[in-house]
Parts: sequence; C-alpha cells; structure tokens
Amino acid sequence: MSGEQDDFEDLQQLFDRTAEQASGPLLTKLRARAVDLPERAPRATWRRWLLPTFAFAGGALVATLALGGGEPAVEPLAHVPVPAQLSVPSAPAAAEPAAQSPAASPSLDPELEGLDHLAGELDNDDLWAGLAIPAEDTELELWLAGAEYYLAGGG
Amino acid sequence: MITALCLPGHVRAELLPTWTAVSTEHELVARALEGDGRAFATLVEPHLAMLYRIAARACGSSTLAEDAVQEALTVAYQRLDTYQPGTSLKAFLAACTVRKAQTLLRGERRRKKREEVADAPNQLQGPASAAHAQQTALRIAAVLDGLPEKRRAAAMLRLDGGLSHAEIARALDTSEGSARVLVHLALKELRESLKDLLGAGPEEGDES
Repeated sequence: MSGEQDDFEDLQQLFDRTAEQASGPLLTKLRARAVDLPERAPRATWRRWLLPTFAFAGGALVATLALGGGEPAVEPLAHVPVPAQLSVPSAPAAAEPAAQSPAASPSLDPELEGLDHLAGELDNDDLWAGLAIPAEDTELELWLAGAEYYLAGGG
Repeated sequence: MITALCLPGHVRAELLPTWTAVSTEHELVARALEGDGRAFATLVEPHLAMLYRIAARACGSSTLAEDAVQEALTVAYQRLDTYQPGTSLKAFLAACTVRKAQTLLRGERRRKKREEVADAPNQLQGPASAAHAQQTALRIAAVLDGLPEKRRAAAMLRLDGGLSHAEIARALDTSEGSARVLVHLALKELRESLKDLLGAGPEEGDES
C-alpha cells in the first residue's frame, strides 16, 4: 500500500511541477466574466416548462390517436388501472442478483457492490498484471460487469 | 438550527461551520439562479485556479484553456439548476470543464487538420528549467492523449483537480467503484509510461 501511495505521490509531484498555473490577472478576468455571465448568457428557463409541455402534448396526442382508432369496447382511460399494471415487483429481482447476465447488470447498486471487491484488490499488482484490461471505456464497463459477475460466484 | 443550538458547545462548533457553508452555498446558488452574477462569481471563484489547471492540462494550450474555463462557466451557469447545493460544486464545475476542454481540443485538432498546419509547440523564452518543464508536460500530455477518454479525465481530475474518488464519480457520472478502477488504471498507465520522470525532482541548475 505504501508503495502504491509513494507512486501516487511521485505522480502527484510530477503533475504539480508541470501544471500550468493561472496568473492573478487571469483569475481576476475569469471572475469578472463570471459576474457578467447572467447578463451575457441567461439560463434557458423556457426549457423548464416547454419540454414537459411538449411531452404532455405528445402523450395526449398518442393517447387520442390510440383511443380514437381502437375498438369501441375499450375501457375509458380513466378506468384503466395503470399503476397496478405498471408496478414491478421488486422482491424477486432483488432475490437473485447473481442470476443476472453480465451484460444486463450495469445498474448502479450491484455494480458498486462488485467493484467494492475489485477496489479491495487495486493494490495487488500481481492480480492486475494477469488481466487483459480492455483499452476502450465502453468495453471496460462490460469487463467490470463480467468481473462483478465472476466475483459474485456466477462464473 | 434549533437542534444545533441545543447541542453541547464542542459538538456545535464542529457542526455549525459545515451547516453554515452548506447554507451559504444554498443561498448563493439561489441568488445566482435569480440572475445575481456576484453570487455566481463568489461560488466559482475558489475553484477557478483548479479549473484552469485541468483545462490547461487537457488542452495543452493556455489560450484554449482560458476559453475552456470561460465556456465551462457558461455551461455551469446554464445548468446550475441541476446542481444540488451541498454535494460538490468542485466536482460539478470540474465535470463541465473537462467536457468543455475535450470538446474544444477536438475542434481545434479538426481545424488544424483541415488547415494542414503543423502544430508547432510554444517556444518558451524562459530559463532551461522552464523549457524542461514544458518538455515534461508535453510528454505527460502525450501519455494522457493515449488513454481512453474516461481514464484520461479521471487522471486529470485526480492529479490536477485533487478530486476524491466520490467527486470523480460524480463528475464522470459513474459509480464510485468505477471511478476507483478508472483512476487506478489511468495512474498505472501513467506510472509505467513516465517511469523515468518519477522521483526526479526539478532539474539541476534550478533556483531552489
């Protein structure tokens, strides 16, 4: 661990030595620009109400078309027990976390649990040396999910 | 507040500064959202140097870095309503800066490619030690450039921004475990590639 820490400190010192520092006048200029920002770049507050409005209007349009083109025997929308149909029982899903496929497990909590195991092994260079770590981040996500699956006993 | 006042003195002394800081930040964010530029400037001022350092590392150019910070502040202001006071303004601003710096850098590279102009490195007029520092910085930039985008961002946020793993996770919109792994892999790559520079202090002949 101390070796790892020493390596980190060496890297930190190297970055500190080569970092470009903002000069005082530059910081003053940036601050002054920040003061002017609300006038120069007003926030797009219209998005707050316009997007939900469009979403609602779109939903209403789809519902109208669906109801209008459907059979007359269709129950009125207000009587359809939507919440009951849409509610997903959570207990079965939570009961079998290890049964999920690696590709289907990027949900945050399981990923974090699996990575806690990995994080404990971060200092073990021997372990990491033997692993073919993907070069791309997108592949890394899948790789991490697979590692998590393996650590959970799935492999 | 009432609860805090009922606590013993030493506990109150520990709690109140944090509470006050969060409360102040909350107030400043609220005022900034109402269009108060001074409040926004007060919020971002403590982080400007860190943002510039990250931007300069990411862009490799002081001019581009200045633009990146400026544009990142604009984005941060426009998205300020998505920030939750008391979480980490540092991570929020750093995330805006990293993304903006990488976007600007990509645009700059496309432009240079179109113009087919060789990217001549800035020639320093300063002493040899400064030139050496610049050479080292260029090597670091080259190694960082070879990393995938998220690992590169994680390294800069850790080493230039001084962000914790939790803050990096927030900035990169990922879990803390993923952030730890990303940082670990990035630092491992940096250590291997810059082995000869590690532990080497400033060049001889430097003023100390």
